[in-house]
Amino acid sequence: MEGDLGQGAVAFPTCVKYRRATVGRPTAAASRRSQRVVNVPVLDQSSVKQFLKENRDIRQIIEDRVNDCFKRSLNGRALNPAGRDMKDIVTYYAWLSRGTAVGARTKGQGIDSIGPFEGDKKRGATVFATSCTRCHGADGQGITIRSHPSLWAPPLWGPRSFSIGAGMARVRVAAAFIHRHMPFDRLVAPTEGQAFDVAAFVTGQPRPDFPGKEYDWPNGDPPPDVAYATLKKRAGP
Amino acid sequence: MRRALALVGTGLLLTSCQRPAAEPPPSAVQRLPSPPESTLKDDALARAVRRGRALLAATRDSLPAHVGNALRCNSCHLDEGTRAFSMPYVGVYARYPQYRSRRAAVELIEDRINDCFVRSMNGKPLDPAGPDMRDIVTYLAWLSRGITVGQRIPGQGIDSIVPPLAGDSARGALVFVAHCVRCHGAGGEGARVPTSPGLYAPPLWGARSFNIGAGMARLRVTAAFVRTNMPFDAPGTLSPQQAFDVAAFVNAHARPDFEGKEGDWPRGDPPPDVAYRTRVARASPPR
Repeated sequence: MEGDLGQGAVAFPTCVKYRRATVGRPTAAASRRSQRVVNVPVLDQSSVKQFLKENRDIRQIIEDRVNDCFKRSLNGRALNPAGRDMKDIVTYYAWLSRGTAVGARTKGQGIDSIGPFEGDKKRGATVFATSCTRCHGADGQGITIRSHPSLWAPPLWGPRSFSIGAGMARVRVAAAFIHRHMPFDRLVAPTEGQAFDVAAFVTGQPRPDFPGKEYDWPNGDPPPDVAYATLKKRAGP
Repeated sequence: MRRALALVGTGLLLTSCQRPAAEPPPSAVQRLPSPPESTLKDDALARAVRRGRALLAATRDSLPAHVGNALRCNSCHLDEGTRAFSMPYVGVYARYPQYRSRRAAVELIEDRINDCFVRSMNGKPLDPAGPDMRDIVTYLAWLSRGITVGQRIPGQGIDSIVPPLAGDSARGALVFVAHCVRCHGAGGEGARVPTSPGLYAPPLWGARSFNIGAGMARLRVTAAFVRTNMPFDAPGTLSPQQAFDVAAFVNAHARPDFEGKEGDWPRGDPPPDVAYRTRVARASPPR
């Protein structure tokens, strides 16, 4: 099974160490000389641990993505990735995706990016007062939607809203979402500029912190609308 | 995108039909199409795919704390999990989550992978959220690119022999000597495959083999696997009867226990070839 190491070396490229070993059977005539000393590659398990540490958090499976929402958008704690709740959520996703192809991007996924524009909070406050307060309340804290009694418009800022680490806390994301989906009753359709204005107003309000947010984008490639400083700065201008 | 079998051997498409014992052997093993290597750029995702693939190929060396025998994932999932009817990895990602009767629960693909670790590799489960599991899942997702979610593709699982036959372990011993010992050794202990020096024929029984809870410890599973894939250098040359005989011979040997096996199939629906008793007995007698 030493032959496995070739592949193990692929899994852990920097973790191969060598150990000296003798091969061959010593004959009576030239006892030790018929033996060869060779370097036998072995996987060094402490280097393996180091490798895994350094290569952490570079890939996400769907459970990670779900938990991102729990921690950031729901300002809560992660689910046990192997627990019943996570399993049922993942099962629902798989059922929803029946018939789509693995790896393909479905039309309508994500958000429909617009702009970008420079949002104006002041103008946004006016838009908010005319178009948003009837569901989200004058203080943005959410109320039951009159036209849909079973629905509840969520708080848009403050301690009961999403944390600063949520995607929705980014002005471009919020603007795209608002432009396509808000106001909920679609009595008016905001222009792209209005969407950016009201997004600037909403994202400019205080909201829960996300501890550890400064470690986001560890490769130094944060989008330009992230609302906080990250430790790894963008390389370019 | 729909996928078709890369190579269709005569007769292998008739899997659901009854196969007469005198039928000529399949001409060649089939490989399921997998994404070209060129789809792996030098980015984080590609690195995870490559690492996942390497973990399945070098399981014991890479994850010694999780493998309790001399097997690796690719010992059974031949051609790096791309061979048809060799429980291929291709397409599996599109088929999970899935209800599995052995546990009577909906399982995520991570659960399925850990089933192999604790049963077929007689070891310890991976942390379902750890980097090793993530990379394995990432590799499986990459292998299934383009396959429709929820769809079963031809060549998945094993090519069950229908109808199942009774195996004779005495006759099987003769088949074993004639066709198996040249790679697996006279004691079934495993050895390098002489025709393919990089390959290693795994131990088929004993302390270094898969445990009693593995799917491969079931007679029908073994027989189907043997029929399609063995002997390694001449796959498809054994008759269904020979496959059942040699499977009976192999499964008659002692192998590691699987603790908690009596809790399998908690709804009382074990397949008829499970080699151990389960606590919830079958409601009606086996077919």
